[in-house]
Amino acid sequence: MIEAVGLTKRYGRTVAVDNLSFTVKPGRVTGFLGPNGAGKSTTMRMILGLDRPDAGRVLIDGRPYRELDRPLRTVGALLDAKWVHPNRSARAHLQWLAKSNALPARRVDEVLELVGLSGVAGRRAGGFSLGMAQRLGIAAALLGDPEILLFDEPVNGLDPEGILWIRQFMRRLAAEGRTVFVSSHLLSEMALTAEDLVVVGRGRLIAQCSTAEFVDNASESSVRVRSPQLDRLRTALLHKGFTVHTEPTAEGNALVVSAATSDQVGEIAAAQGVVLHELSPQRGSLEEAFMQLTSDSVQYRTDVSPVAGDGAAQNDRLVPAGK
Amino acid sequence: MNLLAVERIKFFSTRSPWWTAVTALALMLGMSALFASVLEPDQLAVPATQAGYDLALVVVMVMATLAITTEYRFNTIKVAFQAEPRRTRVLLAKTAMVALVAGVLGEVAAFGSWALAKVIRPAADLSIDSGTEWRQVAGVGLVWALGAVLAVAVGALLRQTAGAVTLLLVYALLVENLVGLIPEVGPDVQRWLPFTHANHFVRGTGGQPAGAEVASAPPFGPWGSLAYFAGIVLAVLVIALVTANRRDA
Amino acid sequence: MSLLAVERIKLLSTRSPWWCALVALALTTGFAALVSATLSDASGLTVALTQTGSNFGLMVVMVMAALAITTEYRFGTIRSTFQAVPNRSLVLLTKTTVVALLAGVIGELAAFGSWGVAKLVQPASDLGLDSAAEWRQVAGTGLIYALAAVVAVAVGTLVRHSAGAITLVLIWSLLVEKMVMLIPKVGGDIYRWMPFNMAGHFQSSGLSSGGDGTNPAGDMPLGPWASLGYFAAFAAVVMTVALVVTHRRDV
Repeated sequence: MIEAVGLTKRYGRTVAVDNLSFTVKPGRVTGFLGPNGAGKSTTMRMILGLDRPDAGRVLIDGRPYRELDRPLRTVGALLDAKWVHPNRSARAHLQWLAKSNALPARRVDEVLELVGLSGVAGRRAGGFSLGMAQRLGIAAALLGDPEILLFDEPVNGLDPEGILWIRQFMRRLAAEGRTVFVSSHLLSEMALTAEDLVVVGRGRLIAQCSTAEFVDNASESSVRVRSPQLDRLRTALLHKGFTVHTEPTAEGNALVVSAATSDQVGEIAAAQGVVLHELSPQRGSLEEAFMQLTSDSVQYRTDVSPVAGDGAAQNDRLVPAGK
Repeated sequence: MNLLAVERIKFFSTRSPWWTAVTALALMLGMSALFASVLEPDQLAVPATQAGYDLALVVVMVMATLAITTEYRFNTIKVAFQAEPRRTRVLLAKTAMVALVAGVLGEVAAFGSWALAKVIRPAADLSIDSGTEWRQVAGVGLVWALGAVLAVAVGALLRQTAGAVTLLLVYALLVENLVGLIPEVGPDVQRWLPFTHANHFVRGTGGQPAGAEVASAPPFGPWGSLAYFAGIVLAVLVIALVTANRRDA
Repeated sequence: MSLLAVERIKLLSTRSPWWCALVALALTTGFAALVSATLSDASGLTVALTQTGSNFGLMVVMVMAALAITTEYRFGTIRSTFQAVPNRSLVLLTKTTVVALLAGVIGELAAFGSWGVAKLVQPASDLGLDSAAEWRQVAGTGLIYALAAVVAVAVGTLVRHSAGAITLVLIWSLLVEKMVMLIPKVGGDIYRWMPFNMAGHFQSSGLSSGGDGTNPAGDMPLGPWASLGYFAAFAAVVMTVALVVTHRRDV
């Protein structure tokens, strides 16, 4: 269980995390979703007691991270796979970590085996490919056999094979009953792995709900309908106040009715005695839902649309808020 | 105890400590061999065998600095603080480990240099009889250990190799000497500077560090000087610990 | 010419040169202020005394110069550099030129700044640059800084590692040369020919007080300008070695 209450972090004049509150429940994979620069990594560092919040607090099973005894047994984390001394061997890296939390030395070989690095354990970590480094990071996170696992952008920069491996690995960890909190800006990835979502933009909480709920609530649902009496149906729908537009398809024109359910459209059609060839609800994708909710929370704007006479607004475009 | 073992694994699983330790040892032994070969046996005394002590001390301080600044450079300090959130413990364990290595290295280097001189010039009177001679040889390890603590503390404060190494070297080798050149008050200030005391402990009043201007008489005896040096080192360490606990990793 | 611009952009677009320049100026002028303020008698203040902090700036400038090349190796940008311009000697010489120019400017600012600060603190003192020796001591600082920067770039190119290069140039110039004097019998003779000792001789020769006004090694074998030539030759030799080695090895 991770509980964040009113978490706030400023770097100079930039507010990286702004009054963020959320709960990560045990026994589920929770996705931590937001565009680059939304404050995900900063939040993860505050969860781990690395950065001090300027306001608010975050508790792990009711206690701040800094008060955990042998914390690797409670929380395992992979924030950055490159946080390794390049001249130290993979085994030595895990050895010192294991020792620091009084974990048995054989645990090092177990996790190396688990992530498939046994064969290269003696090689210097600086020579590892990104995929191998990522595996080493996961091995480090699993050392203490923790109930809670944090992963920051674990599939970033990996090849398809690596992505598949990590995806399966996280599902396996969740299936074992652990709490997995994984951040990503890749929404499709979250749709595949996360059951719950904590969505942030510009350091603020945008939503916390199940992935399905998030899509349902956020995306405008619409209904697609085809009929030989399309004009009559359109008139009836417009009369009831729906927004309608025509969409050409291979089977002739279709109508897409915005903000409507298939029940409503079906009933209107029946009342008018209109024959229907197709009546299908259109669900928005996670991407659409995400874009809609975070559209004004993206830190790095690329829409170059200068406002005449407004110098300040012009200066804003393409200028990152900075760290 | 675990944390000490952690630091031992970390320290010896990278290459720079080995390089720097070997360099320090080689400098010490090399200087001793040089002096022993050039000096006539009747001129060769115990202090001459330790001629490379301050040169090698600088290398030892670089070794100690790197032990902490590379953790910041490669971000492994974040992993370390994640594994043990009580940062004071992590840093103290590292300091203890590095100081121990520096101390042992110092003793090995000091007695090794002495023995080497003895081998080169068997005729010279190099027996370690007096308390002063014991201090001149065995004291090297103590000063190296304290110098290493200072370097770890400065490294933890600056978190950056180039800056920390420059600060330590320029301070130890230049600032303390140049202070003596300030008119009127210079020599009085210099009497209270830490490395002046470290040198006073090892070399006594007779042997000033190479090229140094002669300072006014030191305010303490050799052991008082060591305690004073240790006091300053500890003060810097405490500042480093407080700072590390306050700021983001 | 475009290469010079490239190296100028590279050098000045990172923070460390600015930091180093600032620290060098603060240390030298600060020390000059300290020295002149502690003097109770203004007549005791000489031009030589205002330049006692010169070595501070020299060390910092050498660190800056070493970092200019070692950071390229650390961040791997040297590969992009050699990719863009495969003539490695040309790249390194251009970089050296830019760094040396900056070092020279810092040196002049530091020297005249120190002198000016001292004059401000002790207006009654006689700090006129009357003799050639006094001019050489103040205006010569830039030349020494520039040549020392060349040495540091060369060492950085050879070592390719910040901590190693910094340690080497600082230990050499501050300690090793002087320790040579401790060697019985021959030490003094060797010390007279040490490059940084020669550099110091160029600056302070003919002046009695302050710094290394009287050379601890006794009579120097060369006059001040020949000493400068010797130091320049030393820098050129180290640079040549660095160029040959860089040409031969893989990046």
